[in-house]
Amino acid sequence: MNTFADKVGLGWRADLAAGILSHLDRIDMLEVIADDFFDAPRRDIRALKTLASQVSVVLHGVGMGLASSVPVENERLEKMARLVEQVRPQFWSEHLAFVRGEGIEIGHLAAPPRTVDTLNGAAENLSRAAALAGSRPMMENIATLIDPPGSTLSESAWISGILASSDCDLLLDLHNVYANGLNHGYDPKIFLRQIPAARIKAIHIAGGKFISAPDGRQRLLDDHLHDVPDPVFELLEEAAALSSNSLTVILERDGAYPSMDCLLAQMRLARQALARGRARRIVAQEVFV
Amino acid sequence: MSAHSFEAFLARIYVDVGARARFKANPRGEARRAGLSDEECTALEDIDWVGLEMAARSFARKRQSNLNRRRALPLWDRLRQFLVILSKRLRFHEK
Amino acid sequence: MNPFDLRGPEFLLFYFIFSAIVLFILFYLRRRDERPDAGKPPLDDPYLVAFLRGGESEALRVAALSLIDRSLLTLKSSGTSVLFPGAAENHLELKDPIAIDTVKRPIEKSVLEAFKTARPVSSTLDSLAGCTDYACRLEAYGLLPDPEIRSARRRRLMLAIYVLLGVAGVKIIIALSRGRTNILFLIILAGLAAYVTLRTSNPSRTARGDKFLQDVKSLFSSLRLRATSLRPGGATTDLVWLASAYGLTEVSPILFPQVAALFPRKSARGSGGWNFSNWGSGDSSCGTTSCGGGGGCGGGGGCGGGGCGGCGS
Repeated sequence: MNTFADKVGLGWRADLAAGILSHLDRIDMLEVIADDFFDAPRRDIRALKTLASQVSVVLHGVGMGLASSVPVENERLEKMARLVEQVRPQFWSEHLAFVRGEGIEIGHLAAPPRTVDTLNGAAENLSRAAALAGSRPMMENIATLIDPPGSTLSESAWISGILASSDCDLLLDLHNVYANGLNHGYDPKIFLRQIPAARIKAIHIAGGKFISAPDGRQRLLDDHLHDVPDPVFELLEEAAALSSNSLTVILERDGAYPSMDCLLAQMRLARQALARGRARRIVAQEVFV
Repeated sequence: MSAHSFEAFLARIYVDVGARARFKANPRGEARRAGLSDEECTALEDIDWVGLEMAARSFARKRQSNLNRRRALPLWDRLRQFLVILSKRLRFHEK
Repeated sequence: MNPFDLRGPEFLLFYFIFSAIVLFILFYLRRRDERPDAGKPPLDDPYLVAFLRGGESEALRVAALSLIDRSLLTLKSSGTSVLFPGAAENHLELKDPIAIDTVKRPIEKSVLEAFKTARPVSSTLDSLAGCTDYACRLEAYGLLPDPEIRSARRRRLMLAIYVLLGVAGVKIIIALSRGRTNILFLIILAGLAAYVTLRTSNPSRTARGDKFLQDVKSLFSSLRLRATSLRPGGATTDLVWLASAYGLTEVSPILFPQVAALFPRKSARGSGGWNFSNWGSGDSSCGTTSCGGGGGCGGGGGCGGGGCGGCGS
């Protein structure tokens, strides 16, 4: 018997509003992009609170750049803290990334060099974030097309170090693990075993596409514009088998929207993968007993 | 490692086409000019060049997409965002 | 100081301030009477939202629009399926009786059953008044005023009108008795005060209902911006939510020509205000209340942007 209270949800996107509200009974959780609401008028915040009264909501930040040796600006932390206070999400999350440097905005999530400096910087930023927001964020691993130069730690060691120093939990993005594994030559399943399973509390699944590199080869771009590929569901099954926590799985889709039925079908596949993983975990435990 | 400077240098070559071209032509020289250490310069000489180009293009597309989204906002929302930014800048100058 | 002894212009100013105070008192008492937190209204029923915005007639028309788009109802004009000029008598007919068992919402079932044979659109939809329980549910959620609140509002409104007209009347009598005949402005101001009081003192929704409707509109503001790019065919629920939250007027008549046939014969315009057809009537029971039409509000930047666009380069 599966005793895990796993949940499967979807990223809230304005273009999907009609489909989401028409199928709320099949969606356990909605993930809202926090940055969209930092400077939103009061009526939009109130609408978000109304939505949160109907279905569990989590907040997902994209613009803080917490995994950096540079201290994150207080203003950004305060905005998140205010939104958390207003909306009271199940949890909030951000990325293990940097997004700016000396006033230059990269425009998206970039992988910082995996060094002791960025590890300590991230831990410090997370500590301040937790103090201001009143709760620790879950931190998400990111995909990167470039192997960050100047790195002295492996990705799994770096992530594990940040989680241990900050006492934060991990929002494990499985498509990012899959993409990084393909792009930088490691086995995603081995990666899963190298990170502390006890810290995995939430999971992202998404899709991407292969793009041509200047050297004629291909790399996988995590663009959230495609269906979740089978290998990611296999990784989800692995993660479910490894983790003893209840997991929240969020399907991310940022554009090129398919029908709602298609998105719900992917969520159904996620539930099935979770169930298979949990069943394997239970069997493994019974064998040991 | 002067970690702050290193991250700033990375941000510059990710975003600035000219800076990236100069870096490709003379990696060590540009890194030195940015005040990075020997160790950092060596690390940058070994950079994943293919990944750098692909990442820079991807970031540029994202920046453009964010700009297009802001432009697509109704006029009233753009005006409101402008007023919010302006009031923050004025408060910053008062400090 | 007796205000009735004030000279003309001063009395007009006094009367203006007095009217504003009366309106404020009515507003305050109306808010005080409204039920506190009465449960969370559901967000998954577009017809509930349509009813809240525009009453039962509106909800039925939105249901009909959705059913036509999903090819469960066929719209005919003068016996043939053509585009729908305003003057023609339009008929709706159920395409396949099996559809009645496939739809989930009771309001859709009611509409489909009403059009088992080809019948005129407007009169048939109007005859379905009372077929839904949305009014009761919305009253239970505190989004519409219940009969007790409506009754209290009517009593206070009557009193306010009497007081406003009474004060003006007394001053007019005093002025005339003193030989002053420049009373036109006072008559106009009194008429205006009474009109504004009538129009604003009995809104169809409660303050909570207004906020809930505004929240729904905020959640769907992006949909409103995409209204001209929706695809017919019923593959998504975009059309029904657009029509429910913002009204049939937001639906593109080029993409959805059937919408023109669904506008009520007589315009149900006006957001709130006194509905004269209810004057002197007893409290209506749930399901037979006719709500005033709801105007659309401006859209905003939208709740929710385009996502994070991928987690990393």
